[in-house]
Amino acid sequence: MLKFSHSLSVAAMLAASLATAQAADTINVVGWGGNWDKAYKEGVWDKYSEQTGAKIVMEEWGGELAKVRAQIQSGSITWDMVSPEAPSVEVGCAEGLFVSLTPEITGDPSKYLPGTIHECGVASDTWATVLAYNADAIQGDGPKSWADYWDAEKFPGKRGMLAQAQYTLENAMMADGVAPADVYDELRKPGGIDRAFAMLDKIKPHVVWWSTSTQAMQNLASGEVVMTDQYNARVTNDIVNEKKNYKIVWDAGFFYGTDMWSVVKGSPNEKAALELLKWFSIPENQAGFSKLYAYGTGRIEAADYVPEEWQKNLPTAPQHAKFGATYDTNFWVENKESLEARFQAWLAQ
Amino acid sequence: MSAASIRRLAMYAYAATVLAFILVPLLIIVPMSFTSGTSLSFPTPGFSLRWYQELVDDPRWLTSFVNSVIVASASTLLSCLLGIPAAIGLAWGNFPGKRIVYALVAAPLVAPIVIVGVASFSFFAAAGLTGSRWALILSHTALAVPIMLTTVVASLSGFDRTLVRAAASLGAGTVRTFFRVILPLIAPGVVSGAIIAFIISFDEVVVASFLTTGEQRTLPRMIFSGVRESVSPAIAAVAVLLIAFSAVLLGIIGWLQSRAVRLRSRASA
Amino acid sequence: MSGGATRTGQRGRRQNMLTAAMVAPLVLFIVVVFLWPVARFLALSVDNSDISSNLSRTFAAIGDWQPATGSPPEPLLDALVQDLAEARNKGRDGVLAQLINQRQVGTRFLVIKTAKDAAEGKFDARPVGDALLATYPGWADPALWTEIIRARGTLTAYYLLGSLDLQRSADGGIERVPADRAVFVDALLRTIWISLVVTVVCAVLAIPVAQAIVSAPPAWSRIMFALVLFPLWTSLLVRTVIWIIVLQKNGPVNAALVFSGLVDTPLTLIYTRFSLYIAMIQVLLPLMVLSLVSVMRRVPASYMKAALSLGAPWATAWRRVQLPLIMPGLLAGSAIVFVFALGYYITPILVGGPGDQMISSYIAFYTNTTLNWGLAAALSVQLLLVLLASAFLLWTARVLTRRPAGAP
Repeated sequence: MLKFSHSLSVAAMLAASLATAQAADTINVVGWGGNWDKAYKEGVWDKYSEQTGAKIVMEEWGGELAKVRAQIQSGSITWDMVSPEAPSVEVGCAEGLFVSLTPEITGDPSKYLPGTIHECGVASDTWATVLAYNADAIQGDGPKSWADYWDAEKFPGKRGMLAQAQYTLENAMMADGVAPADVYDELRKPGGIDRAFAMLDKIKPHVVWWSTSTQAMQNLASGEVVMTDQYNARVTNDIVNEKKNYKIVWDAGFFYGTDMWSVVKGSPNEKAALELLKWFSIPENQAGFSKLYAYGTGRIEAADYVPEEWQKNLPTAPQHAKFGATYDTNFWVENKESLEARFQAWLAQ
Repeated sequence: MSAASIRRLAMYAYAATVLAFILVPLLIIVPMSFTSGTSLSFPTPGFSLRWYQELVDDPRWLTSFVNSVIVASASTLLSCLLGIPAAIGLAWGNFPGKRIVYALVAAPLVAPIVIVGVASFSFFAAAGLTGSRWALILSHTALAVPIMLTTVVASLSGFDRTLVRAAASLGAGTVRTFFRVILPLIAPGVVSGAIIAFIISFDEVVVASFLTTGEQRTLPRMIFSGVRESVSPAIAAVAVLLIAFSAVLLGIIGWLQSRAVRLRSRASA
Repeated sequence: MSGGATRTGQRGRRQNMLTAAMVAPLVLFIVVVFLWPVARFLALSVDNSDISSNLSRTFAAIGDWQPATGSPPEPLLDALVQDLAEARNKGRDGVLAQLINQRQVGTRFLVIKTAKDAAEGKFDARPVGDALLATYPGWADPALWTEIIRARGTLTAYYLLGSLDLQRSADGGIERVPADRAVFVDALLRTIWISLVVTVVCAVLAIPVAQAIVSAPPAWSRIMFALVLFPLWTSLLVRTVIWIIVLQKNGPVNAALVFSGLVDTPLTLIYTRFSLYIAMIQVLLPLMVLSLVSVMRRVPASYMKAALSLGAPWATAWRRVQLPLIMPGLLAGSAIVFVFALGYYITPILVGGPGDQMISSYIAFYTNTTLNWGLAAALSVQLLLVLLASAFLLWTARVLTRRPAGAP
């Protein structure tokens, strides 16, 4: 009997240790993982923790809004602050999933770059998807445009491509000679989508598909591919930290998008999260991220805290701006599901 | 040489080749995990323990290991609490619907794991239990308990029930009989079942990837997301440790079983 | 005498109740934690309540109005505005908007914004029709109303049809989806084909191994058996990850190929159908060996010897004598391997390419990425049906091949 009661008490202890008590000053922040998380932790969150003593726990996700919705519906909200893409902020805000932010928290909205502030969000990062190539793998001149990217005779070798419709359809349209600013007008025309898929048909045999940046960059490093589409900061990261001879072709045309910090309505640490966001809205604090990872942030003055030499790596730099266009939020909100399904079908053919 | 012995030789050579196909991959990553390079290439540039050091240094690996141990221990304990009485009931009982019970309990074994994962996710999300370890522990128990049950039922098949009646006639209560008479005799089966249950939970990744986030992340979950990012030598080092872990547990079971056979043969002698 | 029998009978009954009570907690546990969640999830494949319960007034107001006959009548729009306001207040507007957008692409914001305005009282004045259509002309689109009318009812075949690449046509019949969107039938056939190849190759590889284990001297037999079983103790994930390492461009296999001069440059072995087959076969092979060995141990070697001594060529003797005897083991092993292979997820995701994904990957994709749970559930139903059908077929085959004892 002694043994039995002993095992009972062990069971009770185990059960007690399982009850995950959440400390009050812990903020659960959900970001994009990998180096992105690392830069946020080292450049921003650690400073906040140092100054205030708040504990910030980072989780990663893929930007799925419905997960936020599911948490709210079930009443067990574990995420306090999330970083969705701007289209999802638009939808989530309209649905009432996120807390409305006042200028008291965000600061004066007119001090932000266009598209980096929203009723329910403040830019966490402005990123671009760019054409990048390995200058060690290509003899002579590198590709100068997306048309070159599609030209397997002029530039032999495999190309890396993100295995999803979003970003890839835009690149296909640019390769077909459409200027970045006109891409969505063309895609919305009857037959526009078919036109993009027809372009994709042409490049398909030469593509190595990727689903995470790390895969893509490994393929570029190993010579598996000679060029790839990629988030600009990932390329800069490898150029700077691993001394790779990669080139970003900004003037081939690129699209940029914005992720935002949004606070989940009704989260257990809503107030603490809003405090954090208020602190984050100070330009110098935002710059902590851009200094470590080559993405822009919202506040215009944040650039003042970023070294001049580093600024040319940001998609928000003035010299790149004329080649870029912004991702069309509304287009993707409504078409993403059907286009990704079609893309999956196309991919498996 | 006769045709028969050539055939024999060919058969052994073939079997050896197939065995090599099964086993060599498990062995070849052992030297690779000791690479001094930053990526997994073969042959390795040099020998070092740096990737094992990294596992120790990176708190995420340690946390996920601790998580896995907690979840696997709790699932094992639950499997024992549910499985041992049920096994005794099934082995000795004579009630209608025994076959249905067997089929029901075996169902988690054959159901596609993705369906189990998605269904658990949707169920526990509605119950507000995601983000706690309980959801994963309960799901893993459902996956582990069939093995627990079958091992204990098997160990009861050679059990002499007159011992129970003898204990009862000597005035021992049910609880006392269980702990003093039944449990010691089926202990090898229970321990084997418990070890397998532990391994099932410890290695399970799909349900874990649906049910855990952030700080509850288990070791396989950590490997899974790590691999989708990049296959770093640290992954190879974890793999080697897990293979070694399995080998040790398999050794324990082998020892237990040979001991059980010896005990039984001695008793019958 | 008779009294004694009654006592025994009572004791037997009491014991049966006791043993049943010992089994009950486990049964209850499996029902609550496994069976109920799975059933509940599968039910989502026909569940339409997110639409029907949120648009109940609207559906009631439709009556026999036809979208083609003109713009929607006032009572209908009135009902719609009330429904959307209520959905918004209950926090269901997002789901509703997503579901309607699935059926009629480009309506997500229309639904969300209308719901928001309606809940805020912007459409409180009656009649509401003109105000609504002036702000949101999208509600006059007959195509949208056609889809809404089609989505009527508490149950729906939408997802089950979708999982077979079918949809309702404009006239209410059933038609194939456009070829550029058809993906699931191919995925299903691919899943079955991959599982079939893996099963056949496993059988071919396993038979000699099992034979060797059975006919080797006891010590060797034990060692070989343990070596076959060992991988089963290693996690599936680890065994899959190892193949990425072994088959990658800088991996041992390519190193060996280049070193031996068989190829000049490393081959692309990983993320292909080839690597998927290799990894799945290695993972599942031990199960096939296991079930073959358990049957072969009971087959006396004398039958084969007798056939050979009667002058039958070895191949004929094997096919006519040995094969039928080991058939039950072969079928049991095939059933296990095939059924497990059908549900594979981790391995295709990690070592297959985009064209090698099996049904499970799509279930996970629709659960995680687009949160289209209805479709994920419909695909699960499909997978389970295939699984049950194949298990039944193989079980029938096994029963049919079982011969009376002692009659080879």
